[in-house]
Amino acid sequence: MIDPEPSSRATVAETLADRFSAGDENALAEIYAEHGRLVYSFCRRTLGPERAEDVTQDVFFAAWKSRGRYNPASGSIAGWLMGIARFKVIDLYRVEARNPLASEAAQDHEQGTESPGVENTALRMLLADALETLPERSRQMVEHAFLHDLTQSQIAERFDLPLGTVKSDIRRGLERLRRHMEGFDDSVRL
Amino acid sequence: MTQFDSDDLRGEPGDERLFSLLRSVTDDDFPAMDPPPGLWDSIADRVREDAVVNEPDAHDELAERRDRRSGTGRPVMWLAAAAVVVCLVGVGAAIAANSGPAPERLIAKAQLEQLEPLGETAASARLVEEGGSKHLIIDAQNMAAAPEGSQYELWLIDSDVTKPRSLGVVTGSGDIVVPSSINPKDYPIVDISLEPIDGDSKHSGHSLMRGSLF
Repeated sequence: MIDPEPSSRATVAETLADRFSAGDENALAEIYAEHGRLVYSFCRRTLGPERAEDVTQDVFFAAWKSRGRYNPASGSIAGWLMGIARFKVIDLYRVEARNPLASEAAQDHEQGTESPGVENTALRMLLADALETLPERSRQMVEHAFLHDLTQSQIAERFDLPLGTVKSDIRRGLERLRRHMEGFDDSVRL
Repeated sequence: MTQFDSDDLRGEPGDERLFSLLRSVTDDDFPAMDPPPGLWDSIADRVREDAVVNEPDAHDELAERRDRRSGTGRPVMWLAAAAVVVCLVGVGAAIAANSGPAPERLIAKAQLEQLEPLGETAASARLVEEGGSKHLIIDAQNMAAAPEGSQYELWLIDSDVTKPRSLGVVTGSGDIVVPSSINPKDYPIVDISLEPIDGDSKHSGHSLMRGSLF
C-alpha cells in the first residue's frame, strides 16, 4: 500500500522550525512564504484591509523576536503563528474598545469582536488551511467525516476502501491537525 | 445524528474541541487573501533594523546562563547582572542611533520595582519610537505564569495615578505598540497589574511592579 503521508514532508518542516528557532532569517522568509497568506487572511477578516497589513507584520516580527520560545516539539509553527495573531487582534480590539477615538473603527466589524469569537475564527482558519496540506486522500476523508458529517463506514463505502484504511487515514490526518492546535495553545501573548 | 460516538471515531482526550471546530469550518474559513506584495519586504526590513539595535533575546539567554552557573538562590547578583546587560543594550542603542540610519529611537527607560515580594522577577521597560509609532519594549525575567483565573496587564498611568491606560495583557517580555491616543509624556508610569479574568476592564488596583519612564 502507498503511504498516504510521505515522511519527508514532516522532516522538512521540523528542520525549518529548528532553523527558525536557531535564528536563521531565511527560515523566517520560508515560514512567511508558507503561512503569510493564512496570517494575513485572518487579520484581514478580523480587522479589515487597512490594518491587516500592519498587524500581519507585527505577528511575524513578534514571532521572530520570540523565536527562542518556539518549541517545535510542542506544536506546528502555523499554529504558533496563529496563536500570536489571535492575541494581537484581541489586544487591538481591547485597546480600541477603551479608546473613544477608535470606538467607531472597533465596532466596524462583521466578525464578533469578543475574544472567543476571534479565537474560534483563528482556529477554524488554521484548521481549514491545515486541511489543505494533508495528503489528498486523508484530507478528503477528514472533510467527509467532519464537514459533510459522514460516518467512517459511509466514507469506506464511498471510497471503496476497507474501514480500517479509512480509520487510519483519518487518524493520521487528525494527528497532524492536533499538532496545529498544540502550536496555537503553546503560543504566548507578546 | 450521532455518527461520531466513541465506537466509530476514536478521539483522544481533549479532541472535543478539535472535533467541534472541524465541524464548524465553512468555505469562508479557507484562507483566500494573498498578502500585498511588499509586505514581506517590510517584515524583512524590520528584522534587519532590529538586528542593528539589539540582539533579540541575547540578554535573556545570557541571564539564563548566568543563572544556571550561579544557582538559583542569588537574586541580587542576578539582578546586578541583568542591570549591566540592560545598560549595555542601552549603550548599543545609543551607538546605533549615532551611526547611520536610526531605526529605533530610545525615548525613555524605566526600571520596574516590585511592589510586593516576587522573588527573582525583574522587569524593565524601554519606550522607543520606530517608524512613526511608539513602542514599549518590556524586558521581563523570571516572570511566573499568572495564577489560574487571572492575568498580567500592562498599563501606562498618569503621574497623579488616577488614569490608568491599558496596553493589554502581558505574559513576559514583549514589544507593545503604544496607541497614538496615549501620549507617554502624560502617562509616565509603567505598571504591571494582576487582573482577575472577570470581564472588568478597569485596573484591579493590584499592582505587582511599577516604574517611572525617564
